[in-house]
Amino acid sequence: MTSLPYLSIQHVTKTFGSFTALNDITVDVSKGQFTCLLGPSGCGKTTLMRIIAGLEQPDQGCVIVNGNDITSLPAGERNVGMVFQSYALFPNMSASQNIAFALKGKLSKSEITEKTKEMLDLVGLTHLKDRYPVQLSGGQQQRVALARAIALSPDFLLLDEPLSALDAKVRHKLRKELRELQEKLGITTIMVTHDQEEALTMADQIVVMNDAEIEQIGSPRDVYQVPASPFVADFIGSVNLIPLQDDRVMAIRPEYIQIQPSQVEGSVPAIVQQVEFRGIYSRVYLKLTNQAWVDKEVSVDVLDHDASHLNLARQSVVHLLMPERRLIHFT
Amino acid sequence: MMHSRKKTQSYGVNERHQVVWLIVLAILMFVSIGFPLFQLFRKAFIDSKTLELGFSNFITYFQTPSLSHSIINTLNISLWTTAISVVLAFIFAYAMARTGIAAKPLFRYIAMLPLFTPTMMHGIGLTYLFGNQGLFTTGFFGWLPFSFDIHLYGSIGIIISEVIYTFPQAFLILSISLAVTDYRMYEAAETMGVGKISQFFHITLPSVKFGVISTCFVCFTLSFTDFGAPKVVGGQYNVLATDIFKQVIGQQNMSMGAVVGMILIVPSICSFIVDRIISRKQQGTFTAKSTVYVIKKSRMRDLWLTLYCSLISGCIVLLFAAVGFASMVKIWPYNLTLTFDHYRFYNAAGAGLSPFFNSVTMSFYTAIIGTAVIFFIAYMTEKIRLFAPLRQLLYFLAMIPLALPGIVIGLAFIFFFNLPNNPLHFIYNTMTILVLANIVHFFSVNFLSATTALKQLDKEMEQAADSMNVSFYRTFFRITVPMCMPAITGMMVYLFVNSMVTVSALVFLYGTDLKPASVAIVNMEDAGDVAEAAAMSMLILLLNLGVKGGYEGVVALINKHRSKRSDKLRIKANSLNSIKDSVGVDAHV
Repeated sequence: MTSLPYLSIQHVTKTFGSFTALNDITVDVSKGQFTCLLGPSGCGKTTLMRIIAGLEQPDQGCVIVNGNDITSLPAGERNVGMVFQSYALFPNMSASQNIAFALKGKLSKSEITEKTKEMLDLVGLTHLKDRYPVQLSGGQQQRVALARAIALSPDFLLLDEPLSALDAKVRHKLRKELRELQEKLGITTIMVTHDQEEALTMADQIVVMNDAEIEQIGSPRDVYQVPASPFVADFIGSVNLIPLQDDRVMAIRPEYIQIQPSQVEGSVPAIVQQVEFRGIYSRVYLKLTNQAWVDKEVSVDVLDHDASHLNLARQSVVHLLMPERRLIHFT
Repeated sequence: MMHSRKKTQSYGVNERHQVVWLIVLAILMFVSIGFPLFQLFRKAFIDSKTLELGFSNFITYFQTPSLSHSIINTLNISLWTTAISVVLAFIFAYAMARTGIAAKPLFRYIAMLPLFTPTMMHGIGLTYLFGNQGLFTTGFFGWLPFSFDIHLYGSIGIIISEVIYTFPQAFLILSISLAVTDYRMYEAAETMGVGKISQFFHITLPSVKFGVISTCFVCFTLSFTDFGAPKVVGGQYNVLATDIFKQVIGQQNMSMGAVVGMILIVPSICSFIVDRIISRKQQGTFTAKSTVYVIKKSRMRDLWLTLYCSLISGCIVLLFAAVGFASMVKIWPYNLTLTFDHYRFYNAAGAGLSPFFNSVTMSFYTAIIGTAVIFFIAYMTEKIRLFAPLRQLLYFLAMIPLALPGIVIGLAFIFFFNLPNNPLHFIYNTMTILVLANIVHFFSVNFLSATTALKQLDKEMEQAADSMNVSFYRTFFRITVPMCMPAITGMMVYLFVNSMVTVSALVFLYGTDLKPASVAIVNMEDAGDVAEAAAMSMLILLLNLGVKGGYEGVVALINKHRSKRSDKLRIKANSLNSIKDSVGVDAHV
């Protein structure tokens, strides 16, 4: 069964002067799905989101929602909810006033009160409803911005790096909350992020972008385990890129390489350069010594428990096993 | 291919309203800035007799020694004024920013005093001190065995007046330059064993280099174009600004007036260009990581600078006290009995106090309408997403008045609005043209402070409101305006105070029944009713101090009230105010 995509971005191109921000981008999003636009800064992900929101106009291509072409619709008429990177809360209004602001004139007075109350309840801020933005923590501000964005029951929700301004602890907590809320409301959501961990943990679908183009679209598991390009492999998680003959490249993630104390079938010798303790595991940096890859550096993640059984002193020789099924080949 | 054609966004209600507003504003600005300026250029470059386009008017001008000599005179005045004012103000600003002297607020307020009076008042004060019947010239009315005459009337008088006029402006700009520094540089110098004097020349001076350059240009431009002081103490010493007046009002020689107007614009244009270059270069000299300057103890330094500041403040106070005193005695210097007679303005051609109230009305309208229009134009150029070409046009028009001295605006306005076939001819000689001239005169400075305030607001707020389908009027009135209140009220006070003191543009435009107070001062002084002129100056000064003081008081109260709610908001409001004060210095020409 193939259902029509809910939101479809087709062949979108956008340039700013001589700079190409988006080059022939096509993405489909299904209803209720959580999609992450992931990429390094300057890759065009924010521009793509702003085009979906109607804050920028594409040079070419179109945005289709539910079968309707909305490319020429002004931002205000698209029925999107958007959470901005800075949250863009109105500093002269309290949390509840911020939420109610956009409802005025669209709902009756009692409905506004009701809706505001409901939203505050939803994001768990009822007790702080009269506080002004400066009196709220970053995480609380973020939740007000979210409540404000979904108060108008938008067709889809756009999140522009919503967690990037927060402390690591709060960020991890809000990831979970945000995802739970999204699932509860069943709202189609697109989030821009440069944080691969955020994308992996939250998204149903990840769109990896680089240099104005899409590198890969797929589930978190897909983009991690079957990256479509060396860029994707390198950008998401850590990877060892090992050049082969005739310009081909082989990739393998550090945790998939096994360290053997002595030579086994198919193993390659290497010399330990340095070991970094990272808590649950250690990252071992080694130099390969076989002829094909002499002096090539690789890194291997070893569980702390296993590391204690191996001799990983500097300059000691070990043997690396790279399982065939974990190897990724790029041409 | 199906998708290859560019789709333009259709306009929502907001965008449709915005584009209409942008067009309306552009037309308004063309009518009040573009067209009058065009008329001025036409008058200057079209020969008055042959009606041919060319430089014939300029040739006539430079071939008339009596006229072209004024250029030398004016340059002489401006160069001396700039040199003296910048040095005096620099030491004063240094004392305020980098030393531990006492009574800084008092010194600061006194240094600001000349901003609140018409420039004629400085001249009048000097007449009472150093004029023919002056306190010093007559040796304290003969009480002292000696006396001295500085030969006030002429270049000396003008230069002293202009120094008083430009001093506070120079002080403000230099204060800001001196306030913005990175103390880590001084700490680094300390650790390397660099001496204090070497630190001054190698760290302090380079760090305020741009501030000093732009101060020089501001002082030069202000004194180059001032009309009030040369009118009162100039004597037979002709300068460009008084020449325009003589050519246009006295001899009805419009072409020569226009030529002089062109010459008057030259320094402001240079100043404008240099300022642009500087502001580009200055970016990044001060980073968020910079640390605040820490004032070290030094008794000798503080002692000398306290003396210096007391001397400067003493001179300013003496000058103002002389005007105040003279306005309240029967006949200076013969009959020193106190009286308020001069405040009844018997001699002032029966006009009485009406010029004062004309000025108050005019300044009030200028403050209200000017602030509304300027802020809205700044909003439309800064915060709208679409229509970039239109917004750039507006920005360009908004920056033009920065290069226009008041007297040139006055001239351009007569040329344009006095055209018999101009449908707007009817505003000639009315309150409307006075208010319009003032708004144009002070436009750019206030436009820049509005823009600065708007830039400090998160630009995503408008987009957030836009994406929630909120009407832009509501966003403007509910969010932007309340958030910019400190800047908006600051603009109002600036416009009011400066409208009360300005004379240059108005002197060409007022109708006989709508004479503003500043023009009345010029006329009374001309007619020899100096005491009345002094009294009128005092009224303007007192009202302006009242307005500014009242405003500061209200702001302090609000801040106190707000500090309960949030400290951050208050700090933001204050920083906006100081930016406002810093930008609001180079306009009242």
